[in-house]
Amino acid sequence: MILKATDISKTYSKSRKREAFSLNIDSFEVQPGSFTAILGPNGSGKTTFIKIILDLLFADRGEIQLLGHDHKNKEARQKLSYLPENFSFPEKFTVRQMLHTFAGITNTDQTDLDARIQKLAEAFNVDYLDKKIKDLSKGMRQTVALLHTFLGDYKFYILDEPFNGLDAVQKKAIMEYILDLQQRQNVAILITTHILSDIEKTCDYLHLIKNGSIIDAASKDEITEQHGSVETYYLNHFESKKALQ
Amino acid sequence: MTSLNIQLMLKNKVLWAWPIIAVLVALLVGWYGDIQSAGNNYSFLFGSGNSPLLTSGFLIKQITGFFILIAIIGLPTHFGKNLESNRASMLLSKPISRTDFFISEFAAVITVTLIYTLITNIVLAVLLAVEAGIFPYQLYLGILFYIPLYILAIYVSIVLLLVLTRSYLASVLIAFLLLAPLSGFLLEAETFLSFMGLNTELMVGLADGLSYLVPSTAGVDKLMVGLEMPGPDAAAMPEMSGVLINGFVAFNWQLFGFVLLSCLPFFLLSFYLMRRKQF
Repeated sequence: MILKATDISKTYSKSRKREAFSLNIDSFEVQPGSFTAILGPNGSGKTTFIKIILDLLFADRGEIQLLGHDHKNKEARQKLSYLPENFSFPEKFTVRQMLHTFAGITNTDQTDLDARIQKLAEAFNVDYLDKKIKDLSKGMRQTVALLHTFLGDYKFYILDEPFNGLDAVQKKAIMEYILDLQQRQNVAILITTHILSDIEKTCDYLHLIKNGSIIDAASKDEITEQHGSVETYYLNHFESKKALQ
Repeated sequence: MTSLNIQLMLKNKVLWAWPIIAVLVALLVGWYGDIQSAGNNYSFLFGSGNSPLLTSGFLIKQITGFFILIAIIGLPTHFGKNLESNRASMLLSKPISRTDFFISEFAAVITVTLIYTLITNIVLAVLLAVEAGIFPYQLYLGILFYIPLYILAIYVSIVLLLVLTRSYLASVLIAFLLLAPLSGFLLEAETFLSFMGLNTELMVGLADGLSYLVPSTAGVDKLMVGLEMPGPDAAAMPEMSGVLINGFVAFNWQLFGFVLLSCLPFFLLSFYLMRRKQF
């Protein structure tokens, strides 16, 4: 088991900055080699749940086993790579310097690091390795963040809205890389998104989250059989309930 | 993590002003000034043209004060950035514990401060060797103690304020403006309280206890007071002058221990808050 979360609860009281919010996940699992998606509208709790998994936010209750360890232990994150929705790299570093520095703090194998960076840069259409981060556009920064996420030998990738700001060509190139990696190394991927086209063809398990609770979960085959497509599946759950309200 | 922090600090242009200014001051003093030994191997006098000769203490006080100010402005910027949710969530999602995250910050600050203090010492050593023909190694050791210790004392407070407020400006201003007078008052509480007619046993005891809770930059200043005035009257000075004359056997280790101890409560409190902080 890559990830097993049980009985997770997190409540925010109403404050000046935000509305009251409560996350309640009874059970959530990610299997080795799977491509799992959490789908839901903005503010439904996707990022909060991911951050709880990574111990960036603290749950009020619940238990999480991550890669065979309690999720609070740093060993649990040894074979995990995370792409946050919002990130901040040191602006004065070049892309190459940043990748080298971050590889240093994640215990990434340093042998042939330059060659691996070059190979990944080619797969991601990156020809600005020697540009400073501060000089990059939003799409370039997102690509660099993905490059940083996939530089290393991990078993589990958590991608929070990974295709924000990317054009269709770039998105396709990166998605192809991810699928190829998954087939070659049997890695597990957990992705959160609210853009259905991102995961329509790739996901094999989907969870729908709304107002902090998982309202439905199904395999891709079940979805295709019962709803025809992921889009219909999604709309059936969110549109109809909206209409009823 | 420490290496990332060191790299971030070494890329900080504000901090680079420190060694650059040290070199410029040395060049200016060397070319336009007149430096001579004060008749011993631990202090010197300098002047320019017809201006009167000033003690080495004056020069040391000016440049160390200026470097400390640069460090206080430059050092916290990157910890402020690291504490922002977007950066912290990236770093803490890696196999880095919050303890590593916190300790590496201080390790990096001490390393960078020592590097820049060493550069300053080397520049000063070359200047004094060439111009005055002296090598006051105890002065260099004193500076090597003084600058990092002072910066550590004030940085502990800035880190606590950063964790609490997330505001770089507020943290630096509060720490810089309040710490010296507050710790000064607590260090000499008995004198101040008696001046105000409040020197009861309770008040003195209270102030004495509080002095262990606030990083004592005043303690560092007192410890190194002789560094600032090792002129002809050095022998009369109780602290660092004693070291300059008699070596480190005369160092006030008790006061040094007090300074370190006074930094501990803020350090532990920020560490505790850091472990409970959510990103």
